[in-house]
Amino acid sequence: MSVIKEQTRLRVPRARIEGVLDHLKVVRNPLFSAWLLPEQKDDASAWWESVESGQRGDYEELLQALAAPVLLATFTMLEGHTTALLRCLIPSTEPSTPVYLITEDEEHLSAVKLDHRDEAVDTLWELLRGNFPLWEMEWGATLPRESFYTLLAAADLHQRKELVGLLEHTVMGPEFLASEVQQMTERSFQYEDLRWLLPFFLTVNSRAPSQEEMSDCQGALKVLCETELLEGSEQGAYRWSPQGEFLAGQWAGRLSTAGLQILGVDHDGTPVSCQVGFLRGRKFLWYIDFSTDREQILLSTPSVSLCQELLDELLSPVGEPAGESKKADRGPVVAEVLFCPYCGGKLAVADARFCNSCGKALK
Amino acid sequence: MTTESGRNAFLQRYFRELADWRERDLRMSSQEQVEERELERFERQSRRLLRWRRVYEASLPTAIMARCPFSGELFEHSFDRFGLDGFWWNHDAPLRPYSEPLPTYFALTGAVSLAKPLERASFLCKPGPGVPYVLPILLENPDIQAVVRELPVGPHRAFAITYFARNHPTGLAPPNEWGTNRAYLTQGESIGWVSQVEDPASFDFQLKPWLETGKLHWIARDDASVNLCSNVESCPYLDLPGERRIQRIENGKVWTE
Repeated sequence: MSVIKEQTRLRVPRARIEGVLDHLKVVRNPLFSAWLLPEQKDDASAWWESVESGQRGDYEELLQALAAPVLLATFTMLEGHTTALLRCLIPSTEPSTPVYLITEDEEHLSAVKLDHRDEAVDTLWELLRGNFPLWEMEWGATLPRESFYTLLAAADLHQRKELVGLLEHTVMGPEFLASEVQQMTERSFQYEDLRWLLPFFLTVNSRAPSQEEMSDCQGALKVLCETELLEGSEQGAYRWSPQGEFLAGQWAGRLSTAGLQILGVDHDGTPVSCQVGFLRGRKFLWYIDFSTDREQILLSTPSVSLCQELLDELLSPVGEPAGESKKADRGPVVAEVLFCPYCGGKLAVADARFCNSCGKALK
Repeated sequence: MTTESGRNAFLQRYFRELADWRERDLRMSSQEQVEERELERFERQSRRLLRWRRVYEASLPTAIMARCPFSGELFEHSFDRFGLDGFWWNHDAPLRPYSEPLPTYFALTGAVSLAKPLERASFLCKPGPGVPYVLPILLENPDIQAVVRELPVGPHRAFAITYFARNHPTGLAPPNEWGTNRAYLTQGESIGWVSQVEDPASFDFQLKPWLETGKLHWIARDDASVNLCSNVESCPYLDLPGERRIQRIENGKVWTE
């Protein structure tokens, strides 16, 4: 999954970032609170003194970008069993501004400086495209939020049935019950196994519905029947329609799933966020827009050029923060959890709902 | 982009990108050999600017410019009411989504009384003179009548002057559409255009005689029911003080020569 070209990496100890910013008197803006930093150590100035003098300019530039970005994109991708978390930091609204691609571990924040935003778009695009040729088809649907997540649960059920069928050398029937989908949904909330679709998108999307909001499985399945993805039978069972079966089959054989959360600033200087998701099948790439409307989710298969345009648009900063704060304002709008507050374990994805180390609920 | 502040931020972003694009273009044109990466970045930036222009065009609001004195139908047209820095006002490359005009529509001209602050856009804007006027060459035709209506544009007062024709006159070309260097002509399925050099000497700022002869009508600025009025006494558009030459604006500067 490594597509970042080998360039000089700048490594900053996460526990000293606040201290170094204070030491250098760097002003933070409200987006700085997106960096959930561990408890800060007070020997930051000693670390700064240890930085080679020839590199201090680069580090200072990075620290200023960390403190006052205009856009911060968090890209979470699951490919096979590997989760990757990559952040793209845009320090200025100037079109030719350099940008940073950032990876984090428990101790350090590691940044690569790119000449231009286009290179960050290309990096994300390469990750999404993968090594398989990408086909194009015109397809799209707008689904109520609960129905979309129920569709993911039904697709997970479809995949699980296929796996069970393979293990047991049996042919699974085409029909399934609402109770089976409900069970998949409940399991997704209980066990955060990101290899399955519903848990993945529940985790990467902080606007995902709660378990209570997903209690009307029958109603959500009915909507999916109305959109002709499912067909209902008189006996209360459901089966996939031809287009639904195609969708579920493609999703079951997916190469990767990804979430992209953008924290930026609106035209009036207010911090705002938007979230999208991607599902890379063996042939097609599905785009999921969680931001169009909180109650409606857009699901489509945009063309390659449109996908690139979407990424380009998502990484284009609109405005600059209205006010700057000396210290981070950890407001709820931009806060993200990167480490479990109970066991300290690193979370697989930003803003996770559950800790994958100790299993405690984080929301 | 549906709010004024959203539109303004959108345009600011566009102009920042455009300035960078122009700089890159100049830099590249002075180089003997252009790096492939630089060229690709330039092309991507060009596509980005084009895309943003399309977004602007698609999100343009409309305004009711007039009511046809012959059919009574409302004449609605795209209109950037938030400021003169929108591409709707770009004289050489206006962005205006095409919509089927009324059968009696003949031409749209206008005037803008400028107020401060003046917008800074890196294109030429020619909003017309500062007070409403008519074109006698059109109104002298027995089949043509005009309607004037005030519309707010940012801090300015704009005046839409729409000409309607009972029967489309032959041999009479419409003037350039308000703020642009062309007028579109539709005939059946085909669309053509004509372009004229505007001559302020052909403008008549004395509206009263045209009102008296019933060739000119007016609509009050805030009249939600868009009533067509013809009386002279209460017409708010007579003898307005202001610039009578054609105004040109670019990068926040206005000139009239």
